[in-house]
Amino acid sequence: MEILQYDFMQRALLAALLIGLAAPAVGVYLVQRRLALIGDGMGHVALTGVGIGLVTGTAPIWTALACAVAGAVAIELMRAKGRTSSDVALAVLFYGGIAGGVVLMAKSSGSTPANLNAYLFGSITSTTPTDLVVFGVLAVVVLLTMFGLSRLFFTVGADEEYANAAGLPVLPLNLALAIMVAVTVVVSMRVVGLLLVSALMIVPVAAAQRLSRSFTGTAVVAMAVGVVVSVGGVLTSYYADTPSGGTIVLAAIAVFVVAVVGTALRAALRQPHHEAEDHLHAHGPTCGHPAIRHEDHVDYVHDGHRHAPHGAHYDEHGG
Amino acid sequence: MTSELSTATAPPAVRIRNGSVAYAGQRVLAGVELDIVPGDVVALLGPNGSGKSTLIRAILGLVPLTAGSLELFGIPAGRFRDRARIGYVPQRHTVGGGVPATVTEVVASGRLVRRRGGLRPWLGAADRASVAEAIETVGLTEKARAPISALSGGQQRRALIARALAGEPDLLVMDEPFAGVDLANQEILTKTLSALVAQGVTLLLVTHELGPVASLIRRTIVLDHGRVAYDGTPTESVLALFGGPDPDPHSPPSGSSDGTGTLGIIG
Repeated sequence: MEILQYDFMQRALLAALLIGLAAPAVGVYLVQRRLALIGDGMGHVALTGVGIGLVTGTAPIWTALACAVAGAVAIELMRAKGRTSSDVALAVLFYGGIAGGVVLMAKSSGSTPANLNAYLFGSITSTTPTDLVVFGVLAVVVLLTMFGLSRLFFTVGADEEYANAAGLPVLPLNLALAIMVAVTVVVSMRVVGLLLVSALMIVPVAAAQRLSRSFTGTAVVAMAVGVVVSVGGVLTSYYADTPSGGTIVLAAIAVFVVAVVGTALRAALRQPHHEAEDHLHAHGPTCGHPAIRHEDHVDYVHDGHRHAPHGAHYDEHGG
Repeated sequence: MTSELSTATAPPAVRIRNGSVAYAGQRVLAGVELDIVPGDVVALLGPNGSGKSTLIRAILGLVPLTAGSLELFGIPAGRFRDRARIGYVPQRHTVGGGVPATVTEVVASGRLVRRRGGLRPWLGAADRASVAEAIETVGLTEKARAPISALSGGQQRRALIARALAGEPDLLVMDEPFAGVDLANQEILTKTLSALVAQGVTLLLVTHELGPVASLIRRTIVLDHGRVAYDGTPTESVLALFGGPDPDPHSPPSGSSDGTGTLGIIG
């Protein structure tokens, strides 16, 4: 692999590995809460931070991080209030973020359209050694937080009312998750770009949930998909001379399509089966129908034929 | 839980004095006096909009009392930290959100209240045993590794009961445990509840029909327009008025049957 001789490629691949792990680890909780588009908005807000950094001559990572975290806290507080107007307020915040970023960047000295493009869509040559160190530290913080708080995040995401009744610190946990999304957005901005960063949080999860029956399984598969498409996307973008962000996201969508088609085909190719008539009751210990243990399940004798549970319905068994 | 203390000396699980709740100026509960002692098996009855759900939401700390006082196990609600002692089974039986989650994963989330302080995301052997036992209690062991969304409505309700049981509560609060649950699952639920009562768990059931649990209930509280209209043994006449069965157990009624709602409550 002669491309590894280039320092910028080494940095881009390392950054890709970090975000490939971190983005789906955060994204799985966004998909669980049906907030798939929140990361997108935070990317927009971070662009204003980049603009501020370029205008003031500060490293854009820090200003972007400050803006994204402030935006995350504002979004979460609005969501917690649950006002119907918060939808519109979010839209204003998101568009304001991207408009502010574009205007500020145009006014900063030494900023070019290519520069804006790199922030919006990612560029493998743009990760500096300092960036990489910061990204590494931030990515480890995100991964440790997501791992350590995973059960708490899961419980709140599965049933917020229950979590409240159980006395869990729901608002602090939601703020922590929002801040982790913001940090992930900033870590990903060099490689994936601020407009596409949310895709790397969401699309690997969308693919993984087709392939897994459990939450943990979905998270693990999503992180594996994230690493494969990020690293693969960076390599492809080097050889094909394409923007890295778009390439990574297209790779993730390809995995998603394969997962959808594959699971659909597998379901279609399964042994054809005959569904039993509609039931007004579920068979069980008290339904009164004789139960017969049959290999790994229990059949119930119903009007002279055997019903075997299959998903949400019953199959006719034994001809 | 079975205790050395007699129920006469143990503080009540719930004590409400002159409890009132108002949403946006609209009085939903007014002057509620309520003591639930350990071992009580209480059915909270009343028409839709009578304030049943608001009362249990206040007990669970989801809605603040606008007036009056609430004590949980002898401690003012504001200072009550031992939330694990109260298990909650919500009326909704859709949980998990947009990502698949197994029955075990959902039930294990009910164990969190018992292991405060630790950030380890994995469960110890004792916690795993409690989760497995809770799943066993509701008869879902065969489905423990199935995605909860693949279960029937009644099975999902049982999974949520298991989630509450995983925290080993002293008081179990259930909102409409039988709504939308088929007859077979109603019977399994009833068996589970009888077993819990035998263990000494205090039960507070919100329901618009007693159905199969009528024989378990020791006390009924009827709410009407936010006030306690009856509090005592489940007599024939009370059950006939407020605890009647659904006309068709396979199609539980949806929405208000009388349409009175929360309106028209006079302070």
